[in-house]
Amino acid sequence: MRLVTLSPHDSVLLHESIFQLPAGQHNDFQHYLVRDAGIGADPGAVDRHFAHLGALLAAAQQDPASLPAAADELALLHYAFNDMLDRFNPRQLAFGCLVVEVNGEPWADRSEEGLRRLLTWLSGAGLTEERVADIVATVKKNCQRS
Amino acid sequence: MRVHFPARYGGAERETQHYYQQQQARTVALADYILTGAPKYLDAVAELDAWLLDQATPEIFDDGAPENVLTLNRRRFGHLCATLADQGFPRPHELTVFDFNAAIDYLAEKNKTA
Repeated sequence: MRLVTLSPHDSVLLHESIFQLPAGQHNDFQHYLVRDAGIGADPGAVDRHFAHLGALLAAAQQDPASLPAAADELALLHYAFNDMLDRFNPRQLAFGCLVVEVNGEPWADRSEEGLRRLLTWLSGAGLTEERVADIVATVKKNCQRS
Repeated sequence: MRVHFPARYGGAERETQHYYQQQQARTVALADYILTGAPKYLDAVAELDAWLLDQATPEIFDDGAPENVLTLNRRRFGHLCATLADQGFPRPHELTVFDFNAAIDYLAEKNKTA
């Protein structure tokens, strides 16, 4: 397990390897990572969907078979834009799935609402987006490579 | 996972490697075009772009769609949990990821030899 210190008074304890992380929590972690990779919720994700939509529409000019994929991509662009406006951050929620304890107290509420509440509190306590991205990437790597 | 369970997770690594090789071939073709100006390299880039676009088919996230990728993943996990519970593993979602996959491997092997 890994103890992440956020301030002199605040810390979170996390699972970080396949030998500790329960399968149910890992499945929730993957759920938000799939959502992050497939939709995303930041300006970079919106740009990627615009670029992909443009490429699919250009391909559809040669072969109309690409049009259904372009329609799906348009839906993803719409979701990414909405999630960005709604400040819904799937990568942060993936991080929340790894949390075991907050300031020594067990954290058991892993509903989407519970995770959003947890992340709002952790952000206030000093958790940064960079740190979330770094820890999520490390755990993802641990799970793939081990 | 691919170290401990290569039969189930090795395929994803091979796919990633193939994708990476195609990206590498595209970069080389583009560099060749810049260096020589020969149109055949531009054709190769266009061909590889078409292949890469084909690989990046958008996944479905529509609520209520049967092919919603999140729903399919949850259902798949639920089926694995139900299979493990049937075989005497109580509360399988509480097993560690390693123990969960080891149990699935064990059952798969057992079924093969049965």
